[in-house]
Parts: sequence; C-alpha cells; structure tokens
Amino acid sequence: MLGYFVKRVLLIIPTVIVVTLVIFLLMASLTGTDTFRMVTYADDAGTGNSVLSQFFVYIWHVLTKFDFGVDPSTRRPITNELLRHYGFTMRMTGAALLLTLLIGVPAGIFAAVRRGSAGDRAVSAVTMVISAVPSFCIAFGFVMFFAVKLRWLNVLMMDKTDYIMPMGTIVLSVVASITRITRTAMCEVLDKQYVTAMRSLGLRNRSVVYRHALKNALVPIVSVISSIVGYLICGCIVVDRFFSLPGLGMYLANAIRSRTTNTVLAAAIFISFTMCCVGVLADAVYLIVNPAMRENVSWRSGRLARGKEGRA
Amino acid sequence: MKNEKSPRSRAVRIFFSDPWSVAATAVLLLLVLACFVLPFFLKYSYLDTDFTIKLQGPSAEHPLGTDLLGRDMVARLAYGGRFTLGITALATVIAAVIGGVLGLLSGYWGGRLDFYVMRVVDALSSIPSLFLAIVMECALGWGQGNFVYGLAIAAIAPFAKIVRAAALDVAGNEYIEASRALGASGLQVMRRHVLHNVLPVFIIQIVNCLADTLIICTILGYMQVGINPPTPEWGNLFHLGKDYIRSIPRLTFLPVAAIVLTTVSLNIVGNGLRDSLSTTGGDR
Repeated sequence: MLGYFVKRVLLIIPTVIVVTLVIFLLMASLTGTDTFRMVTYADDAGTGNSVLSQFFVYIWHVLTKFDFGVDPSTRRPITNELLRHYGFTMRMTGAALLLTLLIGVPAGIFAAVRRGSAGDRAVSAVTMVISAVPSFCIAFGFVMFFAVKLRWLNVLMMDKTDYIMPMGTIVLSVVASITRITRTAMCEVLDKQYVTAMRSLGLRNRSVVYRHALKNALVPIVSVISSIVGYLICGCIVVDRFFSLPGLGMYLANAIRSRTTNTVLAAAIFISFTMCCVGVLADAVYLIVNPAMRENVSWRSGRLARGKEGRA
Repeated sequence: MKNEKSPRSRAVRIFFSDPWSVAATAVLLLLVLACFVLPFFLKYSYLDTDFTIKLQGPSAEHPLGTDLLGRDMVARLAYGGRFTLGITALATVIAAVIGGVLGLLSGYWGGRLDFYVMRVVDALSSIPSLFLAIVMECALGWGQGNFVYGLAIAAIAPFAKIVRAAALDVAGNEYIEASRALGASGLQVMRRHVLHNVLPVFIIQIVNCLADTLIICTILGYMQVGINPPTPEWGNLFHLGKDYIRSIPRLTFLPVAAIVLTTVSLNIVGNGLRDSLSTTGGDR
C-alpha cells in the first residue's frame, strides 16, 4: 500500500515531463525544428540548440533550481509571478471545492431519496440547464442581479462579501455534475438488498440514508473529485478574466496579450503537477472510503481501476 | 413486443420512444439547418457594417435588429453558429478519430504501446480541458485552423481512455480467444468484435464531447483566444453584446440562448443515447 503511493508520487515527475515535452514538440512542429527557439533564460542558456537539448536545459532548470525562466515581455522571473497567481487560484479552488461538496452532495441525496417525485425532477432539470450555461454567462447573471439590480455587492471586489459573485459562479458551474453523480450513486445504493433489509429491520430512514447508504455512495463520488477540481480550476480561469481577479486567468490573459509562450508553458506545468497531486490524494481518500480496494493495491498495480470495483 | 432484427434497431426504437430525445434531436437539426443553410439565403453578410442603422430594433429588413456596427443580427447569429458548431464538430471528429484509434490499439494490443500511449494520455488529462485548450492554442500559434486543433487535442484524452477501457473489457472475453484460435486475424477480430462493443460508449462520448467542446469554444470566444473579431462566434457575440445589456438586452441574450439551447439539447440526446445503448449493450 505504501509502495503504491510511493510509486504514484514518483510517477508525477515523468507525467509533468511528458506534458512539457508534448508542448515543446507541438511548438517546435509549428515553427520548424531548425528555427525553434525557446527564449526562456536571461543568459540565453540552451537557445540555439536543437529542440531536445533546449527541452533538457529547460527541464534541468525547472527540476533542480525551480527556475521557469524569464518573461520576455517584462524581463522578470516567471516563478514568483506565477506563484502569486497560482496561490490565489488555489485558494479560490479549495474554497469552491468545499462549497461545491456542501451543496452538491446534499442536493444529490435529496433527489435520490425522492426518486421520481417532483422534487427529483426539478433537481434534474435545474442541473441539466445549469451545466449547459457557460460560466461567463453565470458570472454575468450574478453581476446583473447582485451588483446592478440590488446594488448589494461591488464588482471591484472591495469587500470580502463581494467574492460571493465569483465564488457563486465557480460553484454553480460545477455543482450540477457532483449533484448528478451523487444522485446516481445514491440511487444505486438504495436499490441494494441490504438497504431493504435494514428498512425491514425497522431502522429509521435517516439512519439508513446517512449512516449506511451514504458511506457506500461516497465511493463513486470520491472517484470524480479530481475531475471536479479540474473543472473548478477552469471556472477560476473564466472568473478571473470576468472579475479581473489576480489568479491564473489573469496570468493567462496577460500571456495571451503579450503572446509569450514560455509563461503559458510554466502555468501548464504548475497545473499538471497540481492535478497529479490531487489525483494521488483522491486515490488515498478513495482507499479510505473503499476498504475493499485496499488488498488489490500494491507496488505493481497501476492506477486504481475505479468504475467497476467501485460499483460492485 | 415486435421481433427486432438487431440491437441497433432496438436502440433506435428506444431512443425515439422518448419524447425528450426526439424533441432535442429536432432542435439540434433545426439549429444546424439554421446555421449552415440559412446563410446562403441571407441578404447580409456578417461583415456588412452600416453605421447609419447601428443598434436598431427589429424591423422587416433586420428581423433581430443590428449590433453596434450596424451588422444584421440574424446573419451574425447564423454565421456565429456556423463557426461555433463547425469548429466544435470538427474538433470533436478529430479528437474522436485520434483518441479512438489510440484507445483501440492500446486497449487491444496492450504491452509497450499501451504503456507509452497511456503516459501521453495521462499527461494530457492531467491538465483540465479548458486550460489545455488555451495552452494548445498558445503552443500552436494563434490562428483559426490551429484553434480547431487546440480544442481537438484537449478532447483526445477522454476518448482514448474510454475506448481503451471498453476494448480491454472485450479483449478479455473467451469468444475473442476462440475466434483467434479459429484463425481470425487481428484486424478481423478488431472489426467484428472489438469495434462492435466499443461503439456504444464511443457514440455517447462523441455527444458528451460535443457539449463540452461547445462550452469551451464559447468560453475561448468570450476570452478572445483563437477567434478574433470580426469573426462571429456565439461566445464572442456575447462579449460584444454585454456592454449594451441595459439598452438592448437582445444582443446578449440571443447568443446565450443559442448556446444554452444547443448544449441542453446535446445533453438530452446524450442521456437518451446512454439509456438506449446501455440496454442493448447489456443483453448482448
């Protein structure tokens, strides 16, 4: 078990390296392998060589010195700037994840317990429509309602409460999927015979649902956490752009405006690393809520085969 | 129940017995017609500016009014849909072909190929799709042709994973071994058995991917990454219209309505397909 996690943590590094390599090769394929120059370091380290040697110089700098080079448009080191924006986005993502789970899971349970009723259908309809609205429209709706119509909040983010709007946008754009997954998982568990048995033994509905069924429904919910985090990060990017928040969205917007590719590459490496870590953490939680999987896990096993075992 | 010839006809019957799926399919067809056929019959192009009639209300000449440069909103929306839906569909097709082939090969043959393909797929899927689309946009330069490839690359990983899982599922079966023992070549087995079993999940993933890619496409249009004005795109139209929300909400709401209508329809069709295809897949 420990071996498995050591392996997963070690596998993060090659994954990030492959991400970098893929982006390098794509950029090189467009500019031509002979003329490709990744202008990254102030002392022109590595430029003028072949694509692969430039790649190795870059990876070497990143891995040994945590140095992502210099932003060509501002001539400032990328690492500090990126860390600031990244920290902001991660704080937003963390808070949004908490809120999403606190809203989405109860909503899913609510729908599953009343399967087929008007409440269930209402939840399904609302989640379907919400998941179809792009997040910038949701953000716009928040601004029109809270800032323009009611004049409660300020779009300039003067106050802590003003963050209700960006936060609400991120949560709303993601909460639909967690609600749907919770509902499906809960429905499946509630159909099981042991639930019927518990009910016939006279357990109260509340204890059946929350004490026994929910524990098993958590397994599929936990297995989608890392993709939820991915969606949340995407939501942050859009929201940063909409409300001009100092997160990764702002960082990317600057990079797009000045057309600097190495800043985007650095951001991609950061996000890839984060998502890998989230994946390992999610696997750890997955093994906590699903003890049946623990014995299958060893140094040799690759990724956890969720899906089937999770549902069985 | 009448005698069904094939699982396929049964899936079709189940799909079309659900009124919601039928309605959603009809809406999608209408939207596609409006976006790809209507432009041929329009009087104005999406580029025809006329400042004397800017920001006008609906009239006989311009049924949905004009935008801030006096461009006909019907043309803007229809051409916008042509770009949005066209780019989305093209990106999905590219991603489906590449991801499908990769998943099929690595799931069926496994071994070293599987290992390397999956490392790349893992790497790609370690970046959230919107972020990946922006990064790819950046890595590939900033042109419209590249925009499609950026969206496509961002959508490859789920295709490869889903198809690989389905192919792995089939490859372990005894009838595959039996048909190989009877002398069927790899390609024959692939075509007759593996492809056949992979197809349902593949189709569902295509519809899901269309919905996801459409949202990403409009977000990028809104953020002005890849598609630049004056090219209309629904997200882009929203971006241009939102400054006039107080005076002319139409300019904002029409593109949003188009996006939401398309995505909701795609979601409903996806759900319908999942229901109809999973019932046929179960008893085969």
